[in-house]
Amino acid sequence: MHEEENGAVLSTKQLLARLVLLLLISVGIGFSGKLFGVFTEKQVVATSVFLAIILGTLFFWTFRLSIAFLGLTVLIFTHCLDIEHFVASAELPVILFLVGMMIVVGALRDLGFFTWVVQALISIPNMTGRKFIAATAIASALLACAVDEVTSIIFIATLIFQVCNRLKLNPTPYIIICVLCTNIGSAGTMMGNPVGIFIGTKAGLTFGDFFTWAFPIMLASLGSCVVVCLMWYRKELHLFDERLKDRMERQLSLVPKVVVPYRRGLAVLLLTLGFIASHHALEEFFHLGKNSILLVAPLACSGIVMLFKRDRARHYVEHEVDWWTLLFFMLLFAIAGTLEHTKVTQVIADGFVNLCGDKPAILIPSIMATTALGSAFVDNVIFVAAFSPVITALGETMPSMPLWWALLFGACFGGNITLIGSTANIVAIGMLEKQSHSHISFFQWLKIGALSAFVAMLIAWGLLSLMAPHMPH
Amino acid sequence: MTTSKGVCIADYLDEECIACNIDADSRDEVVDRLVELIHRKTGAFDRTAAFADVLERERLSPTVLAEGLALPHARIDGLSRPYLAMATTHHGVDFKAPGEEPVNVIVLILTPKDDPGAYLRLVAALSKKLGAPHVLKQLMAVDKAREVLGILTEGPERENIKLNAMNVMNRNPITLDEGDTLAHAIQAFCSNRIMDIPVVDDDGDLRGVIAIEDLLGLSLPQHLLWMEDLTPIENFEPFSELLRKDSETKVADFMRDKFVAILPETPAIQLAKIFLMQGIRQIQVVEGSRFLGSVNLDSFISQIFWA
Repeated sequence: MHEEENGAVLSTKQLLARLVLLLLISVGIGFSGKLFGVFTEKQVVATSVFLAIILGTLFFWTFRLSIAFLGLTVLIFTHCLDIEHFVASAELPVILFLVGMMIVVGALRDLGFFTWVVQALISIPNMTGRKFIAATAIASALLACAVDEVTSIIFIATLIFQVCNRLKLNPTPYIIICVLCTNIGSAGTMMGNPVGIFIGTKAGLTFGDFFTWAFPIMLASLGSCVVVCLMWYRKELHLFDERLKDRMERQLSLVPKVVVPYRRGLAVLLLTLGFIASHHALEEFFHLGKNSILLVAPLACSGIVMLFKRDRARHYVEHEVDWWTLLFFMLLFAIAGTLEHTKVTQVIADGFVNLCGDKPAILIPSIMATTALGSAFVDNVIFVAAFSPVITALGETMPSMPLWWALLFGACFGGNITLIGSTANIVAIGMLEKQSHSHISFFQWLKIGALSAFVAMLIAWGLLSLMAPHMPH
Repeated sequence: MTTSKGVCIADYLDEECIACNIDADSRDEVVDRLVELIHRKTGAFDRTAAFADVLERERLSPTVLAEGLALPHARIDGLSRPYLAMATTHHGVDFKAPGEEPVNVIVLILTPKDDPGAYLRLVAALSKKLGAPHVLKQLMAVDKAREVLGILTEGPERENIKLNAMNVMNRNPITLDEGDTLAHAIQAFCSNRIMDIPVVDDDGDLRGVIAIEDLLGLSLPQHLLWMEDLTPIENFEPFSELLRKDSETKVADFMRDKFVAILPETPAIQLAKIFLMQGIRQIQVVEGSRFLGSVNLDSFISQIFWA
């Protein structure tokens, strides 16, 4: 239900019907909390507005920002949120981190880094279908770690379309494989997904923490996803092999082979990654607050980029930064902050503990499964924004780090379950429909998506349970 | 730009400006006589300059509209309204249009310089009248100006001619078939010196368009275009591979299936807006999915401002 056109093509009657339904459900659930004596009046308003945003993204994907604006207005009018708390909860550092990364990504594109990656994948020696798809899927996951999942899938999908076009193949299975791997890869670092940097900020986790605990689990899960996908699509990969062999025999390449100048692009990426990776050491050396350098590192790198590429600076800021999404995130964080401010999240945390107990062995899979199912249908940023104060509350009585990782993996891997589970899925499906007029049905995706997510989460659960005792408190 | 106006041929053509069965050997001689007829009637313009303008326009693009019919024209300073003059000739006059037979009916159109729509409306009215079956033969069969005028003015007294896509489009543009190959497309672009070609199927339905840039798009993959500056890439010879497979790449493989299509009754002002706002060079005219013709920016501009 997240298609860009959703909402835009509705008739006025349909629009009003959906709006009424949205208000009835969100206000109804909010007030039922009051009726059962669980919520206070402010908690009713905060919950209703947050539910309206969740339903808004389901019913009116294109209007989600309007609904967030109106929701914020309701919160201010009803004294649930004041400007001071709004500014504090809007997570400006997270937004600026994402702005910086988007500018760096724009520069990387300009400087040929992504062209070089694509060219390197095409130039794999003794290429076969399986080798190409496995390498591309792994590259898409690692690229997601290095930049972000949406950027990664945009570039990798373009490569898949080009290759499939030359081989006259339906790109759908290969796009699905790469998107599934991209979502898994996005859990590897805090740059992979807005959820990562949000969790990092909320939990006070460093780049090093992600690299030590999340990255190895992501790699193991990625391996399982690649194997599952290669087995699931073995017939399609066999056809890929045949077409590729036929083309090679006719001495036709997949795309023209060129030597791409990549050094400057690679240098910018390494500088950014190096700066982010060393943030903790720098913060300690300069006696700075936790994650302060982490959050300004992409801004510093984009500042350097814009200094050297002066003629493109305005283009980067105006066209490479997705201001629409970032504004939505900002309001979303503020509205989710209201849940915390009005102690709705404490109520949910208490309910969670009553239901699942306070043992990590049960809480880890419960959080992972709940988040995964939620993220399968709702934007994972919304879900994580709502759930993070619950983890903070749970963390007061037990070690919280395994719970944060469970939240991260649930949110990222859960995006694989349905075709609306993550922004990367939606972007890739949009590209697929535009490029090859192929449509993926909900169930076509669900079968392989749910299977790969289930296997990946089993592995993550197992590894998290093994690693949890060794994690710092 | 007036887009709709009643046009009556009799308002612009009278017996004094009709010459039947003239004995002229060349295009220039016919044009000279027709300019003379209008000049004798109005005297409001420089005859020599008008003759030169008509010939210059004819030299750039012959105005043979259909088999046996030519509509030479020019926009003249000093005219207060459009004028027509007409000649018929039995033995035919060579209008120097490649691939066209000598013409037997010639209608000279002189319009005021500041009224670009006048020419289009008159051409549309004349096309409608002279395009009807047997009208040219009827005109050839009579030898009196009054009879010629009678043929041209019979029917509705005043035709409501609209300046719309139907009247400015090229009804027979170069087209390609979906099954044609890249080699055919290259041949069509280069031999006809055109920039856009509609792709039509066997049923006459419009399936897509190919712009000349699409040939470059075939050689330059998308991922190379991500880079801002391609000057460091020196060793790039994808064109040889493109040409090696030009007989196996079908037009359907690389045509664009998104194009701007309009209905034939779309007013010219809307066409002008589409050209301006969408930055395209060709608009397709369709009825349902059936292809009727194309309006090219250059011909649209020349018809509006220069023809």
